[in-house]
Amino acid sequence: MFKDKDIRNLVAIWVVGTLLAFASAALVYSFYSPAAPGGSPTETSPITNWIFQPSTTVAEMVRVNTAWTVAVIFPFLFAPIITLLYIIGRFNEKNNPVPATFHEHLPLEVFWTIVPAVVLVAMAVPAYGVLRYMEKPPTKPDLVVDVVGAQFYWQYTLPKYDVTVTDEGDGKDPLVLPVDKAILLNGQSFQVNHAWWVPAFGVKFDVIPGRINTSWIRTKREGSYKGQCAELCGTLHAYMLIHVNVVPEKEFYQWLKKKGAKFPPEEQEYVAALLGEDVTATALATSTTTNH
Amino acid sequence: MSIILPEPGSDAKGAARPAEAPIYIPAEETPHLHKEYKGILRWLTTVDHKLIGVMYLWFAFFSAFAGGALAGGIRAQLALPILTDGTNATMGLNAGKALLSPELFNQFIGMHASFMIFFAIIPGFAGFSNYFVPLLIGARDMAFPKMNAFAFWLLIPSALLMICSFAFGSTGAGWTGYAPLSTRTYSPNIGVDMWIFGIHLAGVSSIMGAINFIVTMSTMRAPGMKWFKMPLFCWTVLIQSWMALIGTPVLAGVVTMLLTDRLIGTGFFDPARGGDPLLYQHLFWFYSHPAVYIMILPGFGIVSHIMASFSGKHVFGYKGMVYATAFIAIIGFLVWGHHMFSAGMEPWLRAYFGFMTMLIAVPTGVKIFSWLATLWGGSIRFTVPMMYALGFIGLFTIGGVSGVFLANVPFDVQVHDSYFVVAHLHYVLFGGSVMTILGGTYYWFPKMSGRFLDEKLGKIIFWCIFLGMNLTFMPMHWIGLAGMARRIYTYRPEFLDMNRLISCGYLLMLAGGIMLLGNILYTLVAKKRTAGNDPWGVNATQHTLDWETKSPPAPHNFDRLPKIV
Repeated sequence: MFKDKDIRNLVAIWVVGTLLAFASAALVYSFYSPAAPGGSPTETSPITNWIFQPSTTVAEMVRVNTAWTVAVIFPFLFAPIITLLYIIGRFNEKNNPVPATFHEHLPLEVFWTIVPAVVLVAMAVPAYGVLRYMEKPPTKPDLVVDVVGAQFYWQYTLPKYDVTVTDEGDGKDPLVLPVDKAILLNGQSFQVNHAWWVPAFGVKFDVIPGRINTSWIRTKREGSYKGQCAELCGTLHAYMLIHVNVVPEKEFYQWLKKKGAKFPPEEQEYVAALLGEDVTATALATSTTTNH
Repeated sequence: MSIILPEPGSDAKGAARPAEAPIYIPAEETPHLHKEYKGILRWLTTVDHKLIGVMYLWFAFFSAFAGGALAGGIRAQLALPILTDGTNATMGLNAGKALLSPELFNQFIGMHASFMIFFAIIPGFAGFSNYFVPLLIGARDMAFPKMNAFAFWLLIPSALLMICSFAFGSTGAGWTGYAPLSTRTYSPNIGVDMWIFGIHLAGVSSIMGAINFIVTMSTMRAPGMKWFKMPLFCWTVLIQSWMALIGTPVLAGVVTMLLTDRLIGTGFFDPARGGDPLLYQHLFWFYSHPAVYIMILPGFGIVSHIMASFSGKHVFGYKGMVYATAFIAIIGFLVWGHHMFSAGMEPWLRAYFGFMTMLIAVPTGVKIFSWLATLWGGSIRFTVPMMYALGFIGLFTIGGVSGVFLANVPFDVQVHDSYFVVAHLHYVLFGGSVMTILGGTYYWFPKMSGRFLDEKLGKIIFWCIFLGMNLTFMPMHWIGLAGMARRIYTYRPEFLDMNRLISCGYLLMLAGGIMLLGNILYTLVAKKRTAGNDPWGVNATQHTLDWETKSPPAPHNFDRLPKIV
């Protein structure tokens, strides 16, 4: 049925395909640049993403999981295509004038049903681990942010501090988050569907009227992050850009203070020590009056 | 399997005969030979499955050009955008200066998809199914010839409604038409209602066609053609028809709910009135995921025929192919949620939809491997249809692999609604469906017209389309991963170069498409009928009935109804 040489070549093709897949996985893995050229992303640097510069724990896990997925799935990309090219070169009219007559081989068919299924399990199990991590928001988050999508801007409320900022898509009033904190994101909308997406954070969730979609991140890296609405929401969908600055804790509190935050009593002492200023409600009221 | 064609008069109708004896039915008794008009009236009144099939194909061909023109508008806008880097305070004002206004751009993307899906790919396959299912099972026509004609003619008002909806402000909510964006509050245009009625008519047509194919194949197979002797193309059409029959009513239901929300205020999708926008997505994808298989399964059948024919072998693992197709169809109904991974659902449900989606890779893999085994050891002739079939394997493998990645929920959440998804779906629907339709066109053109399409020009067209397709859709993977959302009419400056490259790829495909139209028109007008019953000389190995009739077949298909042993 087969010439031995062809079988040997077929096996060699699959070995080469698998090696190419592992090489691709290594390549994807090596894209990671802990310190990107030029340091942390700034307001003017190009958009960053979870492959090159994962900036949350979730994004980091997805990056590793993707490299693993490439390793186990890409053999089924490279090997069939190389096999096809081999067939084109080997089994054409000129090189093989008399076609073979076989048209079934049950053990072979069982084999190529079972093996991909097993490989899929090898892909599915780690993917499930990452999914579980994504779906288990911290029970006591350091910060809660209510994300509201509207036509055509994003509004963020930090209920703990009674601060609301509106990102009109022009980046003038970005959301500011502290670094290395667990942050819970509650997404809502009151008009049409949107989706909050910051590629470097490895997070995307639709905001849909009538429900609250929750997601969470643990920020790992300072910088200025960009994203955009990822669900068609009307004419100016393309302009629903997202800007998030991840900053050290001190700068975060300075930003809160500038936004007129009401610090909860249990935090006032800590923040006062961090900033070297009094942040009780009366003190803030006074400083606001004097400033203006 | 071999075919016996009985001699005339060997078995008069009604005469006593052994159960297994060949049947002879005089041509005069075929259903559509009541009255033949000439010229245009013949086309308008015909109930002949072959003429209807040809009309379906022309309809699909011109719809593909209409959809392609819309894609051209999209690509032109994305090649020459007014860029946004997110710091421009007058971004909204710039919208007016763009090539396409944002409103028009959103209508273009919605209509591009609607046209390609409902009027190009589905009718394209309906054309081949209509023409070749009766031929391949040895029948004189479809079971319900008049319903068959009606199903086709419904598509004309359907397409007209969609085209005319542009004049009234068509749907700006994409082909998915997600509520609440598609509700009256946010899309007040009457064009959206026209779009919904267009989908209704296309859906009715699709259901009629599905019933017709199921009945035809269940009852009208030639004597001796057991289920597992039916050619693979018929199997894929049968399974596709069941999918259309089960899924399409749900689509009709959900767009009707949208329509009543819009027109009489039912509030199915309005949270303020106890409705839920997510309900729309669930119902919509319950049809529209199986629709993906409705749009690819007959293509699997076509390339199976082409590959077996031009490698001089039988299809490898025929029964395995049938089971794999059926398995894909069943699982296809259980995975709709993978279009909604970021929409918010129970955690275990995301895991379920992810795992089920991965499972589809198994029967799909069986098909890819079986095609490779069909080619293995063959004596391949590189005719144009065979080139499309070989190209299909490569492109569909790429689309399948990116599909497995998308089944991986954490990965999918990253690229959902990004250009990665656009790349994936075009590798499946262009690399899969369109390549098989083009392959089928070249393969069966001599049968349908008696003339060969020009092979030399055909190869140039193939390379234009194949290379153009890859140039267009391969970079989309990359910009999607990098963070470009889909359905945006302008984007960040870092994506400019890639988008211009993609638009160049579009031009290459457009050139291929125009040359293809030229090739077909030239062949029909200028070439002589030279094709015999078996123009490609493949039936010594294939033993399929389509090559046992004249090219083109007589109105009654077979002078003598064949018997299969």
